Amino acid sequence: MTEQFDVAVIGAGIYGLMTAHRLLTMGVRKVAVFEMNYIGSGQSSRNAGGIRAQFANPHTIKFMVAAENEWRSMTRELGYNILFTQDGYLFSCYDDEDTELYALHRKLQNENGVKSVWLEPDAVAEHVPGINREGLVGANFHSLDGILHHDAVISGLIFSIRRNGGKIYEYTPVSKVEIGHDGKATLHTPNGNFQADYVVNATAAYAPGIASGLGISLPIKPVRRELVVTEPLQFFMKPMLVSLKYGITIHQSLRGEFIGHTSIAEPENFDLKASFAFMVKYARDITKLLPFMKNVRIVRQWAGTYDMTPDNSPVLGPAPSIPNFINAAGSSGHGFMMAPAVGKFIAEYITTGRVNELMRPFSLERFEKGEPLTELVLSQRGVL
Amino acid sequence: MAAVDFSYNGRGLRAEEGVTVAEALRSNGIRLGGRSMRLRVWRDEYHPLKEVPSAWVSIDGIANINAYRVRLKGGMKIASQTRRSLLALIGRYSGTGFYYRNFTRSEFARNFFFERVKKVNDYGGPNDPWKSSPGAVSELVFEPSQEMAPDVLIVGAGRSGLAALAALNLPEGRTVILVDALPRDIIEGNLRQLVLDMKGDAFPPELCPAAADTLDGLLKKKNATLLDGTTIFGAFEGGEYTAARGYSKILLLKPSAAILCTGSEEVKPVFQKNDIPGVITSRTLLSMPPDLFQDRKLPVLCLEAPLSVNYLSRISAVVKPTHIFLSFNADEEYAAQLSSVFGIAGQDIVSGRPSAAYGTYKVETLTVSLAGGGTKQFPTDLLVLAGRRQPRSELALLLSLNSMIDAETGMPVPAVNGGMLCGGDVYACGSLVYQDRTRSIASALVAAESVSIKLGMKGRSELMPSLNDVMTKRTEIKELAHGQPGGKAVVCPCLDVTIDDMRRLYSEGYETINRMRRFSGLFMGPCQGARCYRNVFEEYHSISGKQIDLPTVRPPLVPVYLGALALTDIPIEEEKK
Repeated sequence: MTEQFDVAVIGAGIYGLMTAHRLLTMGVRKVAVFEMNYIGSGQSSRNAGGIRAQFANPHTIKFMVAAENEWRSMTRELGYNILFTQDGYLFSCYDDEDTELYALHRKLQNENGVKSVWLEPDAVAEHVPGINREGLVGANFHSLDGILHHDAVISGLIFSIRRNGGKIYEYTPVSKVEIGHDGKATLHTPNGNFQADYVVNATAAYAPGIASGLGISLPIKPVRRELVVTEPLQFFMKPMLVSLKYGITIHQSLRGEFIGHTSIAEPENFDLKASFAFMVKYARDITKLLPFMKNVRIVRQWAGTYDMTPDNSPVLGPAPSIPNFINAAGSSGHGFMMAPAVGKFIAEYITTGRVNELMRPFSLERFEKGEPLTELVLSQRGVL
Repeated sequence: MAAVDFSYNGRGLRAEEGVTVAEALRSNGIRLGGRSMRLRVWRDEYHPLKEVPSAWVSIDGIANINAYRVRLKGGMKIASQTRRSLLALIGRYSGTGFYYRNFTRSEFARNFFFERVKKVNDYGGPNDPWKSSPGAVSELVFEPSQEMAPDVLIVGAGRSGLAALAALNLPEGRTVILVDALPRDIIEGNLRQLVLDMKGDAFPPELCPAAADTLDGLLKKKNATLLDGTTIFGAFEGGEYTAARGYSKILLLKPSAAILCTGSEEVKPVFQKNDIPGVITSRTLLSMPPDLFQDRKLPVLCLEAPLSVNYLSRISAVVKPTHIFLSFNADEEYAAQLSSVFGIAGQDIVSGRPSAAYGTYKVETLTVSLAGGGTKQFPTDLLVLAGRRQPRSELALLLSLNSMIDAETGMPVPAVNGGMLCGGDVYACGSLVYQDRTRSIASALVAAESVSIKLGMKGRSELMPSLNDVMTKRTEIKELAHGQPGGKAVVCPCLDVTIDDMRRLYSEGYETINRMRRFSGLFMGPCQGARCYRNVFEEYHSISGKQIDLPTVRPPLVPVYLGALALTDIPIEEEKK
């Protein structure tokens, strides 16, 4: 007989694990997570761990305020330290950029509950000693944004799920999902079939493949992104530094390494090979933004896959025609930071049937209705 | 050179002007490299990188200056960037992965330690060196990149690489580039050893370098350029092999055929697991200042392969071993050479494989399993390991090559992944594929022959040696048993992860190698797994009974300066807006 679950989550990344964890703590008993590779093998193990609410769309800003609140209590909730430090995100602004945009972003963010402020160049240099001050006008800064350790989060979630009786099947790819006449879903895997009342599709760039079997078309495509880490230096830079001019996002870890990214044309596939062009472009950009970095060596470069949607925002919530098939994918590079709110709202939907007002704008229908969550400029310029 | 005064953490010191700051400090008994907070020991002697990350100091109030790169001037005020006592205390009571372990216990513990780490570093305090411009002082000068398109690229100028070079039979005007990380004089020694080896193994004389061949002569004859002191750090999709010449310059190599004879770092797994101070590889020994080993009274040398006399002479200039242990069957001539190079009596040259080394924070005794059976202990305070090589190099892993030479026939098999990655044909051979000397050389000859045919020459099949023939002409090496390391043995030397740590993590629920790795930092130190992955896999297998795949190797294979990369001239496609 096929094994029965209340909820089957496909994908043991941050969305899948967070949803399973929240369901179990809300009292749903039979929860299983299916993962095609090892736990957290996708973006959840490959990202830089940045958490920010400085977005440029009211819905995303409100959602992220809720998520940041959740992150703050996550260590206590999991009983496992996720190394979350709220030292802020700093968006540096140079004189040849569209400086007005920074004020517009700040205004929008302030109206939606994010107290981002403007820093003068001296204050910027306090936060980021060694920044290139030539043409530096100032920076947008929000002190409640921060950085966490993604591996610690995943480890904490695994332990929590196991403690609460949830099951995680590694190396068990789901090839097909069927919805029967009774409304129950059947999941086909090489290790046999499984049945569930609800299915959560949290498979990032693989989500369209799973959804298409049910006649649902998800506008999500994979794009490679790369990160570079340097040898460790004395710890001195607290905030995450973003430069739209140079395309750079960079922070210093507690161990002292600099972990950074630059924007470059990347292939739209699942390729995870590191490219030399990225290494060189990163070196060129970072030595302009932080000139002292020319004396620092890089030790490792790796790649991950973004799951991009047309408006760079995730698709969250039940599919329009199938209320027990829930999508949580397409996070376009800021999935990790949104995750605790995503897990909470989806678990809420499964237990109560209500779609949270904060999550409603992220529904798949937004593309048909012509209400995309387009950012003004940030994500277009390749910021994480 | 004149001696000058300078200060370190407020202490007045004296050293010769013009030496590096690291050397100046070391001559005053202060060591910077590779301090292990957890084991409370200095590891500079055998750290995978000579210029280890903890070599950063602040000079005249300017932080993050690499002490190995800046030369001493009179009156310099040098300060360490980590106050030792508190960090050592934290490290002492922490487990695997210094930061992770403490900080994942509880949020309180993490904040408690983090605040203190910041405090001892004067972060934001009145003496915060970062108030001035960080890392501005540097003597590093970077040069623009250079593109080279030889017909043949040979990576590694050891025995196999040189054998491949000597056997190449190219049409007129074709060019060869030979790349090696080591300096020229070691490569000259390798050539002399190759001549002896090929003669001893009865290879056809037409394929061997002549006894009278000098390195320069051989290079000229083959229209080849030697790039010594050059390390290949990457091989990229649709691109080329990238190399770093010294620290300052990036080379872009675009060959139409490449022969990989990299062999990789010398390592000896048993001792790597017992990675305690005083156990070092010969390569590390030779890369360190000789005076560092002057106080060692009982050094011993373990030879895993018959290394060249030239190379042994270099070792003997640094240490005079009391005993030499041979893991292979040496003939009388070689034993006599050893005896004369090191000036020790024949009875102190013992046939036997070292099986364990013990000591508290420094090596004290060495256990050897003797060739005739049984084990014996020898007292020692410095153990030099030479000649053992990893059978697979990181470059081959990066290229997704497994075995490029058929193990039975010695013939190259076409590359699936590697060939596509780098444009040209890739032939992996030498000790990269075979740990055995004779087979390594034979595979290099076969690879050179294939490349020559590819570039338009007639084959010389009548000359190509039959592996069976050459193998029967040499004596078999007797396999000796390895000893079992204890639980305190270090598996990952960069992050101080021990076998006991791995066992504990496994029992705490970090059951897969990925979770274990992400928690403890295994593979993620400065060596990027190059030194530890074999040990980790072996230990993981013995703990869990599970087999695991090789790790993904990521570029750069050696750390590369961003300053040199920034001067690399390649076209870059900007992201679509």
